[in-house]
Amino acid sequence: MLCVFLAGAALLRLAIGPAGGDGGGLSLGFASGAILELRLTAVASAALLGAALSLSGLALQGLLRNPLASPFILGVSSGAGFGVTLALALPLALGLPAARFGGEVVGASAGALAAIVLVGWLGGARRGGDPTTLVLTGVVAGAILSAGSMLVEQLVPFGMRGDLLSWMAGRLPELPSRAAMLTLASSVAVGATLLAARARALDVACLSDEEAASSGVDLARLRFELFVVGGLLAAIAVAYAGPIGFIGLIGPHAARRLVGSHHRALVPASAIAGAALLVGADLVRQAIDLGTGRLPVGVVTAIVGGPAFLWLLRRGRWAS
Amino acid sequence: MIGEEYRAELDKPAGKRRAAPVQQMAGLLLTVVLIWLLFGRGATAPAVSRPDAPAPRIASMSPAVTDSLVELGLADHVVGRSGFCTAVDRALPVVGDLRSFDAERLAIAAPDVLFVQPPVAGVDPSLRELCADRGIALVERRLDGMRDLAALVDDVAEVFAERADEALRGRLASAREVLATIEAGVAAAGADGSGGRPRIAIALSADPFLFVGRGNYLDELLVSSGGANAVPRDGWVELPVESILALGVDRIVALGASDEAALSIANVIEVLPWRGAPPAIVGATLPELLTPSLAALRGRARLAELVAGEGGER
Repeated sequence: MLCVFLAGAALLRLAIGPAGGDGGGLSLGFASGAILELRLTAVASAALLGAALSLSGLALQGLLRNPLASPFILGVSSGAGFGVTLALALPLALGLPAARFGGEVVGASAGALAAIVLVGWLGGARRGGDPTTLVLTGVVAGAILSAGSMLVEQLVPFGMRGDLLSWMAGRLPELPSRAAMLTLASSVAVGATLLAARARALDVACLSDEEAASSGVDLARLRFELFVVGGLLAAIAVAYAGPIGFIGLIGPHAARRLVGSHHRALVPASAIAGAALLVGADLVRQAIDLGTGRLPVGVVTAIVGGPAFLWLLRRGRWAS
Repeated sequence: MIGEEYRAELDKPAGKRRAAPVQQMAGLLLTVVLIWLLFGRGATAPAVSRPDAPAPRIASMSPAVTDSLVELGLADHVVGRSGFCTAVDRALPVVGDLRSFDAERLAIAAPDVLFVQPPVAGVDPSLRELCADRGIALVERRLDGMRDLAALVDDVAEVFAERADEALRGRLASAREVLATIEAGVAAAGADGSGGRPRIAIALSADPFLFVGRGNYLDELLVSSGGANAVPRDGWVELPVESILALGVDRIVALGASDEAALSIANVIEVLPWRGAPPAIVGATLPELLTPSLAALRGRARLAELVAGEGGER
């Protein structure tokens, strides 16, 4: 089912586009040549990013044993946002030449990684720290880093603040570089492999600390691994496209509903679900032409993902 | 919670669930649509937008550039716009804006030239690559002051080169002349100092209080119109109420795109806790002044009247 949904969303994404001509609007039908190449790149980019976010969410939900955990709960997006604002604002404040375009990516990567290291250190992830402490540390670190971003924004001239804010909307890059795509693809492959290799331990660890320990699972080590995999995947995803919400939350849940809770099936299913959801969101923004430019994909995922999440909550899956 | 869900699941074999009937129906429907898409239509290339637009075909990701092109009588050449470009046909594809672009719509717009205003971090390298690949001349122009507008006029002249007809040459020459007059006025004001000139503050918003600072096109228009900018900082300046009260202005001009906008700014400023009588506060509907474009030159005479204390809505 997930594969059909992913294939369907991908094929529709390949088939829908602006009509051109005098009237504008949309056309339905497969393009060829350069347009097809653009659409294929967009599908691959969205699928990889969706898989990364969903796997990150799966790792963190397992780590925190909390179905509401998502990649951004560890303060990753706030850290990345702080990194971007610093990269853009500091040169201006110091009277240096403005950062080159790549400065945003460097700032986002450094900020996201710094946030993970900070939260991991303060939350005691290395010692397999308490999940509640990790969540609280992530939330507080996120709030501090967001305040830092707002403070730095005051350093730049008013007309340039939009440059900083636009990054926070979450956008799929129009023409991602080959290096960026390769980085994303390899991180998804490595992350999925590591999670799949620990599938049995994850199953047991989700029951209780006592049952995991009696089954011979080294909980501290497992939690550290999940923290590193989940955190790094989130950091790479944020550096690639800015903060895109709900995929990391909804992806694992959608997969869980379809294949059950065994991680051997859940890991690949989550990757496919995340890919399908983000390709679907990209399809929605491709199909909606408000005449004001393309919607940031983060807006679509929030508008569609929010109600979907509430619907899942209403169904009472986690009420027990 | 996840643990209980797992506990219930652990006894079941993995990956053996059957899809629900609704899911099966959705899958079937999707498959039919896909088969129709794959075999019913075949590959089609989207049409180029505005195929009959005269050369050079121009796309603009900047409202200010688009307004300037329209002001120069070149609206027919525009084949792609930003979402904020309201001076051209709304049916034109939105190819991007100051901070993002749409590669597919840019490809179907098929411009010869693309005008962009680069953001702080510069133009996205992938946009540069796309333009190079598709043979689109990329013109990057930040539009902050009159000197930038003069450079834009030169850009347009270069784009049209031999193709510029008499009418366009005349409009370009006229724009250069006005811009040179303004620059001369600014230079003269700088040499004289602000002594004797009315101290004016131009307000653009009341939430937050946003004023025209120094070194931008509106400041230059104000100074060349005989006023002295009362706001002592550069750029677009957000001022707290106490700073507004301490400006020591003779007049505040509230600029808006509509009567309501201009008057609402003026009304808010008027009720600030001024010590004694408030300065003269006027609202002015001058949408052409709100973008750094050649269209702003049209509003110069009206701004000069406001600086001199004539007109304005109260």
